[in-house]
This record gives sequence, C-alpha cells and structure tokens, in this order.
Amino acid sequence: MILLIRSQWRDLISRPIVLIALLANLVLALFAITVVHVTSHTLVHEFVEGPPQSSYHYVVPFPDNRESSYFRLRERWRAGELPEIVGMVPVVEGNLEIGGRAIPLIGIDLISDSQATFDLRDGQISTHLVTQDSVIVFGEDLVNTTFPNDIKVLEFRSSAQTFLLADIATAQNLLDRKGEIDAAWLRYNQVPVWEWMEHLSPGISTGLGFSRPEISLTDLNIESMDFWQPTQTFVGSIAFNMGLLGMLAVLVSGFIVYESTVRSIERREQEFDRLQAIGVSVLQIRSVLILEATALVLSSVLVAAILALVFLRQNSLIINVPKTTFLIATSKGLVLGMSTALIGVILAFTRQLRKVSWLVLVLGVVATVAMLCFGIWMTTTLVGAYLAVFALCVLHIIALTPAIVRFLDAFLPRFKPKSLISRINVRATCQHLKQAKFATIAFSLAIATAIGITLMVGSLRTDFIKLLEVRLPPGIQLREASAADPMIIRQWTGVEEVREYYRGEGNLSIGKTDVIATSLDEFEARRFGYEYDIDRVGVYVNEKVAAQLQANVGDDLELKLPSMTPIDLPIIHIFKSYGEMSRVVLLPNNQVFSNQLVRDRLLIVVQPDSISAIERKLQETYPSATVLNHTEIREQAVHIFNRTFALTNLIALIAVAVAVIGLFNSALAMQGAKRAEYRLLNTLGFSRLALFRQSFTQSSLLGVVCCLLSVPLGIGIAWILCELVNPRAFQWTISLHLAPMTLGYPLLLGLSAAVLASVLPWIFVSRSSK
Amino acid sequence: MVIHVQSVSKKFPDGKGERWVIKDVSFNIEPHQATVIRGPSGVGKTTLLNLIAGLIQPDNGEIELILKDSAVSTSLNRLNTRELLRFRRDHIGFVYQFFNLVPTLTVQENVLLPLALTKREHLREQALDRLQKLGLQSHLNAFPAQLSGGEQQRAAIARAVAHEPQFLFADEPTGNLDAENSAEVFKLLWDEHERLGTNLVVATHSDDIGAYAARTIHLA
Ligand SMILES: Nc1ncnc2c1ncn2[C@@H]1O[C@H](COP(=O)(O)OP(=O)(O)OP(=O)(O)O)[C@@H](O)[C@H]1O
Ligand SMILES: [Mg+2]
Repeated sequence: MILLIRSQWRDLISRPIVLIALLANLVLALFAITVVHVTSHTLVHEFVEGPPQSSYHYVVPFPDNRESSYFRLRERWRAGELPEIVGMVPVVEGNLEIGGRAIPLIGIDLISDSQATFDLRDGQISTHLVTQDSVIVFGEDLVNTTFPNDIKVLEFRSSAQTFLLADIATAQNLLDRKGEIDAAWLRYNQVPVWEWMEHLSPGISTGLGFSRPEISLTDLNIESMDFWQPTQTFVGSIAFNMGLLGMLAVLVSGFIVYESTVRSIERREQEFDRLQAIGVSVLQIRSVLILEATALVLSSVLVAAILALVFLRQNSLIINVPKTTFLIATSKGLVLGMSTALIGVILAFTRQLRKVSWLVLVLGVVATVAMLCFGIWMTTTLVGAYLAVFALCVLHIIALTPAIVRFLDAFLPRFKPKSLISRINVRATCQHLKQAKFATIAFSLAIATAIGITLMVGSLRTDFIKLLEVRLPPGIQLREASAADPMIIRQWTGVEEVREYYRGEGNLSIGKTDVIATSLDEFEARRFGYEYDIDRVGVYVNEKVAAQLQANVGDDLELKLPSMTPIDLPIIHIFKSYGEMSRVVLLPNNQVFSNQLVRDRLLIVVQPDSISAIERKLQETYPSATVLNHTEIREQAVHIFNRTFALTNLIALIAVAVAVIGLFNSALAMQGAKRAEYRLLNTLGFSRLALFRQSFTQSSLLGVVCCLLSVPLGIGIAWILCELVNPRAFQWTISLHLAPMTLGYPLLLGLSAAVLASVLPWIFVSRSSK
Repeated sequence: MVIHVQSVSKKFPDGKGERWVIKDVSFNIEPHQATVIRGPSGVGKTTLLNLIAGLIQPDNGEIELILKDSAVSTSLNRLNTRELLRFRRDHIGFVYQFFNLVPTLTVQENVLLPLALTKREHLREQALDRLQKLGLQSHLNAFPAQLSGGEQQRAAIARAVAHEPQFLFADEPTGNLDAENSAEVFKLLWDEHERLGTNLVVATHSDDIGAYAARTIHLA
C-alpha cells in the first residue's frame, strides 16, 4: 500500500503542470465559496430594515388604533387562542422631526412581555433599559444632532437603521397620540429550520421564499414580520444569487476533477491491470486515488481559506469578518469540495455510467422541460424561477451539448475543405470536443452564466441610467431641509423654481410604505415618466406597491397616514424605482394635512450657469441641511450600483477561470497524444510556426464552438433573470437589452480564455520536446 | 542523389554529463543505392538517420546531400531552419516504426498531403494508383486507426513516396509487424526504390532486407 501511494505520488509530481492546474482550479472554486458565503452573510445582516430585528415575528395591526382592541386580543390569547404565541406587546409608531429629518419612533410596552429583546449588530439590548420619558437612539448618524427639548436621550446605540425606541406612554406623548395603539407584536415559540439554514447558505430563505407558518384569527389580520423587510429580501436575493454562482464554480470544478480522474485512469489503465494481476485489489487502487483527491482538496481548502481571508480583509464591502461565519464558510467549502471530488473519483470508476440508455435520456429531457415550464408558467415564486434556471442548465448538459457534439461529429467529417490542413484542423477540433465533453460542458456553462449575468446587469444598468436621467433632472436637492424657507430661496437670482417634498411613513393593507407628498404637476409627471393629464387626480405608486397589491392603473389605493382618516385615491401611474427597496406612494400634496409628514426635501431648479453659486449659497444659509447636486447624485447612484454588482462579476469571472483551467487540463492531456503527430508533421515539412498556427486554429475553433454553445443558454439565463427573478424578488421589471457590446464582452472573454487554455499546453509540449 | 557523411559526431546529455552516441562516422552513399544501417539497440541508428534527414544537427562533421541533375551539393549544416524544412519536405520521404499517418486524415488524404505541401499535384494519379497496387483501394476513406499494422505501414510507404522524393529513409519500418507482413513491407520499399530510383536508407534489426541491400553499414 505504501508503495502504491509512493507510485501515485511520483505519478502526480511527474506532471507538475497538471497538478498545478488541478490545484488552482480547486483553490479558485473553494475561494469563491468562502468569499461568497462571508460576503453575503455580512450583507444580509447589515441591510436589515423595517422594524429592527427583534424577537418578534408577527404583527397584528389595529385599524381603529384603540387600546381596547389590544386588550381584547390579549384576553383572547390568555384564554387559549393562538397557542403558538408565547409573548405579546402593544406598539405605537410614528415619525418625529429631528434635525430636519423624519425619524421613526417605536413605542412598546415594557411590562407586557418580560423576554422582549432587540437583536442588533453589537449585541442584544433588553427593553428593560428603556425608562419612562426617555428614548434610546439607534443609528450613529444621529450622534451629533441636537434633539428637541422634549426628547430625553438615554443612550446612543450603533445600528444599521436609524430609529428611536421608547416606552409606549412616552412615545404616545411625543407623537401626540395619547391612548392610541397601532399594532401588537407577537413572539413565536420556536426558531424555524430555515433560520438555521441561513447559516449554511445565506439568502436561502429569501431565495426559496420561506416564511413563518401562517397563523390567523377570523377577525384580525396577522402579518409575518418578514414581510416588513423589503431590503432584506433584496439583499437575500443577491446573496442567494451569489451562492448559486459559487455552487456553480464548485460544480464546474467537480466536472474537472471527474475528467482529470478519468484521464488519469485511462492513461494508467494498463498499469492498473498489471497491478491487479500481481494481486493488488481494486479497492486498494481506488483508495489510493481517493486518498489523492482528499489530499488535493485539503491542501486547496487551506490555500483558499488564506486567500479568502486576505481578499476579505482588503474588500471595502465588508467591515469585519466574523470568525464563526468564516469557519462555517470554510467548512462548507471543505464539505462541498470533498464530496464533489469524491463523487468525481467514484463516478470515474463506474464506466457503465458513461453510457446512458436512450429511454432514460428522453425521460430526463421530458422531466427537465416539464420543470422548466413549471418554473416559468405554473408558479410565481422565486424558487420557481431558480428551478427554471436549473432546468435550463440541465437541458444544456444532458441534451443540447451532447446533441450538438454528436451532430458536429457526424457532419464535420463530411464537410471537406479543399486544403488538407483545414481538414486536419476541423477533424481534430471535433475529436477534442468529443473527448473533452465535460470540459466543454463546464466551460460553456460558465460562459453562459457570465453572459446571463452580464446581460441582466447590462440591461438593468441601461434602464437604471435612463431612469436616473429623467428622475434627476439638472437641479439641486436640499435634504434635511425643514428649516429652509422656499419663499426666500425663490427670490435668489438664478433660481427658477423651488419644489417642496413632504415625506414620512404610511400604511397600506400590505404593510408600511414610504409616502411622499408634492405637487403632482407636469414637471413631476415628467420625472416619473407619466404623461401628464390635468384632469386626473390620484397617486403614483412604484412597481413594488403595484405588484404586491396586484393593482393596476385605475384601481383605488387605500393609504393610512398616522393621525389621519384613510386616504382613498385612484392609482394614476406606476413608476419604476430600481434600487429603491421600499414601497413608495406619491401623493398630490393638496390631499395631505398630516403633521406626520415632514417637509424635509426641496428641489431647486436653477439656471445652468448659476448652479455652483446657488449650491454655495444654500450651504452657507442652511448649514444643517445637506446640499446635493442631482448630477452628483446620479453619478453616485451609478457608482453604488456598479459596486454592488462588482462582486457578482468577480464570481462569474472565477467560474470562467475555473472552467478555463478545466479546458487547459484536457488540452494538456490531449497534447500528449499530439506530440507524435507534431513530430510527423515536422518531418513532412511543417515549421514550428506552421504547427503553432495549426494548434492556434484548432483552439480558436474549439473556443468558437464552446462560446456558440453557451450563447442560447446565456440568453436563456438572462431572460429568466430579467423576466422572472427580478420581478419575483424585487417586484421591478427590466427589459432585456440584447446589446451586442454587452453580449460580446463575455464571449470575447470566453473565446480568448479558450484559445489561451488550449494554446498554452502546446507551448509547454513544444518546449519539452525540443 | 549522393550522400556524403564526413566524420560526423553527435552527443546527448546523459544524466549530469554528456555521451557521444555517434562518434566520427563517415561513409558515402552512391546514387540509387540501397543501404541498411545495422547494430544493436541503443547504438545510434535512429540518431544517424535523423542526422542524415536533417531532423537534428551534428555536433561535429558535415553531411552533404547532392540532388539529381545538380552539380551543387547541399550541406545540411549550412542550411537555416526554413531551408532545411523545405529541403526535407521536397526531397525526403520518411517511414517510422509507427505513427506515420495523421490520425485525422483518411488514408487517401494522408497520401495526398505531401503532394499538397510540395505543390506536386500532377503526381496525384500515380499516388492513387500506388494505393491500389498496395491493396488499399478498399480503405481509401478509412482513418488510420481503422487499419491493421501492416496496412498502416503500406499506407505509410505510399505516403512517403507520393511526392517522389530523391531520398527515402525508413527507421525500423517493420518493428511492429509479424514476419510475413514485414517481408512484404521490405519488398514494397525495395520496389519503390527501384522504380523511382531513390536512395533508400533503412535502419533495422531485421535480416529480411539484407537480401536486397547493396550495402550494409554496421554501427557498433
Ligand atoms: N534526444 C535524446 N536525448 C538524450 N539521449 C538520447 C536522445 N536520443 C537518443 N538518445 C540516446 O542515444 C542513444 C542512441 O539512441 P537511438 O535511438 O539512436 O538508438 P537506436 O540504435 O535507434 O536503438 P533502437 O534499435 O533501440 O531503436 C540511446 O542510448 C539513447 O538513450
Ligand atoms: Mg531506433
């Protein structure tokens, strides 16, 4: 056995390039897994919004805002209704104007639930800390703000969200809503399984659409708190996407391990036969190969972990890397890497598996097509969309690629170019395709993913920039501007118009929404892409509101603002708001008389040549307000957009890199057989240059075929991302732009990568044979 | 049509040092002569053949090939890589022990390849006739992997002489074949040598060719 291991070891190091390529491929894939996991975990936990992540899971809103409603619910609960619920608190919510901004205030009753906690970034805070007449301020951005005299601040807490927490009586006082209660928050008795699954794959609960079990009362509406966290949904979806991409990298590297094991077995078939003849058992041979795979994966995990740590430290997206998360990520990589490598090795031994009967294949294709149709048409869930992506990839692997390779194999030999050299090239490419089927599949899969992502991001970017151009016309925005007086600003020279925006939070039947009240005139209509009609009075809602309410233009929208009778107005326009995670309702300001809305934004339209002068003057006159140039906001928005998707691109790039290594490996294996052919051609009078040209032509042909193979799949993935994933996850629509430039980039990347991967081995071979 | 080999030596790196494989070898091969190079394994037969064919360069000495109807001799040492390549392509045919055919070309295409490379398309008919005579007519569109060892060597000979080179070199052309096949291959080589009037140089262990050869060079 020791001898066997020694022989295997010598065999391994006798081909250093193959070994390095194999290691690099594993390291890259594992690196991707670790980075993706840590990044998405961190993202998911930093983008929590809505009510802070508390120990509460359900909300029961009281439409009448009466304390008696709450007490009635509490009595029923005490009497044994809602047995799953173990705790309950009354809540009042509203906005306070602080430093010119509308800041949410949450008041909860301390004595109702002794175990209430708020889960925050720097640990848990017990609500017992809240004392009468004072508030706890969450969010560092308020530390330097002067608070109105009637708000006593007990302490500041760091948090991703900005809000105030107070005792319910204090909150009622501050909001001027004595005796009113908005809702009851309910605590569920156990942590569902998917909260644990989040640790294994961040974003999975969002991706798979998990939510808490529905509990209900006949006369009251009970909502899951998760519904109140749209940003988390967005981030969860991104995280889940990235997780899928990371898995893809592992899948691709699994293919590569499989293929290189098959090659190694084929190459040493005779040797293994001899070994068996002298009494070495098959099991022993297998164990040696498995041992080899284990050693490879273990060393790769180590290197990948170190690389990932270095990368994460450098990455500005992540502030600190939690130790446990990193460990979980690394062990996840270890388990995934081990299992793919082992499955690869074991599959490589089972030859029967390489020949699948027609019946099984047809059944498989039918089942996958059914899955695809189900995902697209039969369901509206996100998991359906992912199912469709998965089905598309499976179809590509089991049907499309083999069919095309078969077709080329049958057709190409009949295609006879005049020049014999071209014939050699065409046939050799065909052979390469057939022999390196797995590398080809892995490669085209990776390129397709790159195409899909690039097309989707490109389309979103096009739509987003178009939107920003109309939404942010040249002008200056003044934020936290409640102190500014529009009447005065209007007098300044160069100012053409000053527009006022009142903002706050309101409630729809589906939950909270941002509310903006302004004059919905022709100017505003243009900003939101609405064809202005003076006779139509109503509200604009963003796509998210429309999708969640399943409402169309013309339907009535019922909106509740704190301390006001509900507003009932028709929806006259649905607008896109990419990047906006929350629901948004735009009201005509002549309909609103709520003291809960704060006039905290002004839009100042200025003559182009006096923009900077007015900017300066605004800064001097209102030092507490924030002055923002629309052009700058636009640039900033695009910048943030690009950054969010940089990581996605990076991972797509890693997947391509892993696939390229696979192609390189298989080309290397094939160049061994080519050495003899090159020698022959050399005696026939081919120069080194001619041989290189030939190798290059064959590589390019191979690259072209791989890339062409990946185009339909890539467009399919992009289509699903635009038409299914985005509307289902974020409720916004993207029109798929098949821009040649956007499509060309990943193709060019793939083509050059493929050529490089197949030409490099040639250079190695020609070097070593000299 | 004449080969002059003048005190040629060739060394190879051997472990840490070097080893002279060919040491001070000289001989002449006259026009239309058939020559056998003999000697035990590892003595340097292949090396010598590769030297004469210009596939490797000697460390000492000079190799001259003189073409038919040409007064000038071509010294292989003085040709640059491109000229050497062209000389080999135009005037030399080579048969190895195995791997003589491009695996992605059919038998017929393999035979036509040297014609395409040397632009001697007018020899096409003769080349195809020769394939017939060699008994390969039913395998014209087969790929090399589909042929038996003997058929492969016959096709290799057809390829080596298709462009009617003036020199024909064969390195253990029968090393992989049984006695019957190997006798046949030697006969075919001999026939082509006779018919085309080429210089034939064969490196071999086998005695079968001895009967034909006008001259034997022993390496020891
Ligand atoms: N490229 C090379 N590098 C180093 N040593 C070489 C090289 N080519 C040949 N040799 C050595 O030169 C010696 C002669 O080799 P060669 O192949 O010419 O012998 P041969 O007479 O053809 O043997 P055989 O009858 O077995 O074919 C051998 O010992 C071989 O190890
Ligand atoms: Mg030899």
